[in-house]
Amino acid sequence: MKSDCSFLHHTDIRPLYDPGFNKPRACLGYGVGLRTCHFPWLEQHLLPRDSGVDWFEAITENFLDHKGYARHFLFKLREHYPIALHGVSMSIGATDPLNTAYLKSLRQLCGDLQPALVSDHLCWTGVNGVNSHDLLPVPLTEESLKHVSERVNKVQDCLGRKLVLENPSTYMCFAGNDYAEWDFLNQLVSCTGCELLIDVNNIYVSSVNQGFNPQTYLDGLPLDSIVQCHLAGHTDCATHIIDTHDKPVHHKVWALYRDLIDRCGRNVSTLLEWDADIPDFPELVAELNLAKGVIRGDMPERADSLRPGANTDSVQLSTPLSAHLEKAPSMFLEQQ
Amino acid sequence: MSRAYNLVERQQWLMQRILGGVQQNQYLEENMAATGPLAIEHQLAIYQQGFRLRLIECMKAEFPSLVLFLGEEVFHLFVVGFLSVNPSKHYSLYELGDGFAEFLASTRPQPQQVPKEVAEKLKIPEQLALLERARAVSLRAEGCEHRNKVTVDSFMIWPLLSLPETSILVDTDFSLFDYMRKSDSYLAKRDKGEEAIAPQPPSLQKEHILVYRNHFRVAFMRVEKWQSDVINALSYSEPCDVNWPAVAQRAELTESQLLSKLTLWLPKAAAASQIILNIAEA
Repeated sequence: MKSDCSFLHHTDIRPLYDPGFNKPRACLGYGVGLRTCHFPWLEQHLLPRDSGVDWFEAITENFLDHKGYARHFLFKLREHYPIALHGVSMSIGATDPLNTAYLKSLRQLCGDLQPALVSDHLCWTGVNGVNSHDLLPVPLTEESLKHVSERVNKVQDCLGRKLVLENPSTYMCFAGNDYAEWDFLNQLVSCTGCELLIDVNNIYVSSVNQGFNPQTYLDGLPLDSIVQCHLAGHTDCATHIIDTHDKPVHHKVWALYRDLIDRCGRNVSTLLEWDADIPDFPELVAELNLAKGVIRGDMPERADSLRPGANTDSVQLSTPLSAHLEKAPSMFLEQQ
Repeated sequence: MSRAYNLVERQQWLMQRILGGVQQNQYLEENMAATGPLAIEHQLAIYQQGFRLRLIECMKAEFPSLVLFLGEEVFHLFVVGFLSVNPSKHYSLYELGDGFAEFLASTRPQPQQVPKEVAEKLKIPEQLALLERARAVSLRAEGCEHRNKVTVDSFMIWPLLSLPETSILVDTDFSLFDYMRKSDSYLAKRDKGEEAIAPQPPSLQKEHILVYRNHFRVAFMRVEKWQSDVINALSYSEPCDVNWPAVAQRAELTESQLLSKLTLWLPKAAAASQIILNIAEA
């Protein structure tokens, strides 16, 4: 039977060889998600000493098959910074076959860019060839664990490097789950050797929405496999929380971040995500720098906005993506 | 009993609920566990509403002038209709707007169904969508930035001409060049919180607009009829197969008139990356 990744057997597309496949990860320091609205500022403050960040994370799909300015600028940044590629469409948990066109493009981009990390989410994005562009929750069953493990192994073989998987924020839970999410991640790491990106805000969001203790989640994680953390803001809708990425980090998320780093007993590459109502770059860096203080024990003094600031007026959007789309000012010229 | 559902069935179930919208809430108890403070139908609604909202936001980002022209409510209706018949099948959100102009054209009422003056204006949305889609394509396509600089030497031997993927000609029946220019300026001011006056709707006026990219910057330029004939010929022919006498005839020019116009225009067009000179690059 032909494997889903049968294209790997073609001689022209052998898996990439990553000499660091089994080496421990170095901590990249403190970074932010690369967003096109910051390109003009970063053009003027290209070097790390001017930008104030140690590394960037780029949304993978925005640079696959891209031959324009954004790709040009990404490679310019790469001359000065480590870059992580962070995907939203690998759909590692889907029952559709792995998208070989996607993997080929990703493999090509990895070869060209040499990213420090390649990550995606423990989720699926669609079935029957349709992409919802949402990070849908994986049923946490034995069947699902076997299925996801096989796919992670295929992707790692294809890319010649470890895949880093992130815990998504969830708003529902399938009936009949065999595992808690942290147990599922533990098993997945054991089965595949993949690494973890722990989004502390997602743990908090899911803990409120699903009614579990976030400390139990941290207790259950395979700490040695954590190579990256995400921080982000969320919106309180009174009855639940939405992972909107449009606000500063909530103080309870900062506390959870401190607890995670304490448990790891080492620095972990830390990244701030901001995807809607995005502030100017210096303001973003100021928020990121709070992480350094938190590790030293300086918790940001912020009011608990959980109940009084609850936003119940409108539908809030999880995983906002429109700010990732490149918008450049156009020129309007009369004919020559 | 929930154990009866396998992984495929669970994913099919959730996907159908999401694509179908909030009225699709069959078999909730069988598939979802009651966890946390929200009722399961409200938990599901977060995914159902988020799916539409997220894609609408992405379409708004690609078609800002069209949103301005139609208004948010009508634009949303068209996007929801478009996505229901053309659900996203690509990993990239940049592919989402592909085919939207054609969808708008397909939903336009037949001319005999509406008064003549209204019928003509009904083409504005699809033509605006074509222009804005051309901008999105030009932004990401393979451009001329890495090609050798065009110098006078390049023209000493008449080169074969072709179009880069970043050059897209859009023929319109309305004053969309001015409308796009004014709406871009209006939206930029509005985003900064400055006072601005929304542009008047486009008027009937045939225009040929070249969308192209130069040094990674997308530009719109009105071109003359003969230039659009040349660009169309380059779009549809291999560089060595362009039938220049036919181009001259279509442009209602003699061959010598076309040649002299090309001599004046091509150096500027090539320098601005609107066309490619296929010369042996050292």
